[in-house]
Amino acid sequence: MLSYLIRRLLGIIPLLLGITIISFAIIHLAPGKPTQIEQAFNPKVSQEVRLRLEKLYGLDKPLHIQYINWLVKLGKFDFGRSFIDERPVAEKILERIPITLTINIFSLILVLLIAIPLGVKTAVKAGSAFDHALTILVFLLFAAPTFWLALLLMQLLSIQLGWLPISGLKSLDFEYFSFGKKILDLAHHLFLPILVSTLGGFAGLTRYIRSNMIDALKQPYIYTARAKGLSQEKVIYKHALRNAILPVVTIIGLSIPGLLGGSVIFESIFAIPGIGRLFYEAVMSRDYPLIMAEVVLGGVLTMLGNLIADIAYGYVDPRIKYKR
Amino acid sequence: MGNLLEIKNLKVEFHLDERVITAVDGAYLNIKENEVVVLAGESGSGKTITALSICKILPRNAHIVWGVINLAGREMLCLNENELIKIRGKDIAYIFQEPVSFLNPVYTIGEQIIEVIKLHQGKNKKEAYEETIDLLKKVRIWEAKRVFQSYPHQLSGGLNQRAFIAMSLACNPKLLIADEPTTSLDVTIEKEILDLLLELKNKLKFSLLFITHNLSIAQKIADRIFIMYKGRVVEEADSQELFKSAKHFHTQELLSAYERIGRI
Repeated sequence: MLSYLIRRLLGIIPLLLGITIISFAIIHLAPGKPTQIEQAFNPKVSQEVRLRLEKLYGLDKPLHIQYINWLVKLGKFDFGRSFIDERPVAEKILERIPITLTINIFSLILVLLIAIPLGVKTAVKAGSAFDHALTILVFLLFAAPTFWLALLLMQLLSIQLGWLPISGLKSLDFEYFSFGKKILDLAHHLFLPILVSTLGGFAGLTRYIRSNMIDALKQPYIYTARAKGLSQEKVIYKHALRNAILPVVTIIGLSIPGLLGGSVIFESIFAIPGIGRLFYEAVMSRDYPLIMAEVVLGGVLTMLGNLIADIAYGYVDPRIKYKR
Repeated sequence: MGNLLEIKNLKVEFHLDERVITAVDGAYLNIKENEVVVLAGESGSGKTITALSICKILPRNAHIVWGVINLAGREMLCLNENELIKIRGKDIAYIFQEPVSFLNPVYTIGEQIIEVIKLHQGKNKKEAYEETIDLLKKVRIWEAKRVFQSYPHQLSGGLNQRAFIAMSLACNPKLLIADEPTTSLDVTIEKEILDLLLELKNKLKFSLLFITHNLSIAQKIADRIFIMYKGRVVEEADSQELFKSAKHFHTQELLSAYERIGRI
């Protein structure tokens, strides 16, 4: 098991090199340099200043030298400083993580809490009116773009009914609230984003659990469970569900990068200062160090998520064992 | 001695998307106490569906249209689900064809046996554990503790089937229904399992309904034989009688097939 783990972790390194080389090349190929963008908004910046800035940032060197310089710094866990405000990139990312993580973890938990029972119920009653009605609803939600759903719900809950704030994270007078009221205020602001993110997410998983469950209920061991005299509930929840839910472990593992990644559109609509928006801003201003740091973060998390999914699967499914 | 189980005029239909298929039409069967009855016939003749009807554990799209299934004076088809689950696994137990796929892959053998003991006998964990180990030894599994902790995929077909028999006999059923229990096993294991079943039957005094397409097995173990063909029971005879003078043409077919194989 340990050697398997080490092998897998070492395997991350070449993959990460590949990912960073490609991203580095692509982002530098994209038209517009950070210095040009700064210059465009400020006519006082002369060509001379621009060249000096490029030299300062090391942008005048050939691309492969730039990459190697960046890689050497990465080896020391130094992600560099943002071109925009000169703050350390790591610090900029770290301060955005909690909010994105909070929204995504809450919505993942809600998605699981809704999708698993709903998937089971529709599978048990497959072909019934309940199943058909839910299938239609689920496909509608599945097909509806998140931003559209978000705007509709904002219109209804925030503007017409006035129950929830439209966007943002805190009320204007947040700083003066007591601790308890601060939590309530945050919850109030986060309700809609979490709701929208849950609605967008549970549809697919419900269908997935439903089809797994229908499959499990047809397996021979279900006859055995019934022949033993187990109640319908025990047959479904103990014998069928345990088998049907195994692949969900993989899905949770694979959703790890998404938990931290955040969504650009989503966070922009709700004006949430999360990772997704940070990445978007970084790309728009060609803030290379910040972009590359996010690429590394996403790459590492994706590969770790895969690894965690594989290991967790070995734990829950007795048929899978990792040797050597 | 009266009949332990009596099935009369059983009709079972499958409702597919557009069509209705009659799987069993006018089957009858009776089993006395402590008797071995073989239900034989080619595959698709409705043997398994007849057997599953007894406890109403049919596939979801199968429906019992009419018939009488009487177990020791109780009308099985009139019982509701709550009454039926008290009979399943306790008065009537099943063994199936492929033990590996009929055992749940994600639970150990021990967990699956303990489950049925706890369910019908209300024993606590420790008592159920000891009883399970005893049961595994009764079906001649020497490494009972290892098998207890094993998952089905870690054991051979023969061991799994022994464990399955242990699980089925856990609550001393009056009737054991064995649906082709040796078909997926090789011949030497088949003989061991058959010997074990007969030995346990004599020791524990249950009736055995044995389903097979193999008349050589039927001849070895049966007191009486029922032959099924296209959903009907076409012939009923004492074991010896059947092999001397089969009446129905399908029985003759089955017999000649058996004799051909016997000659090889």
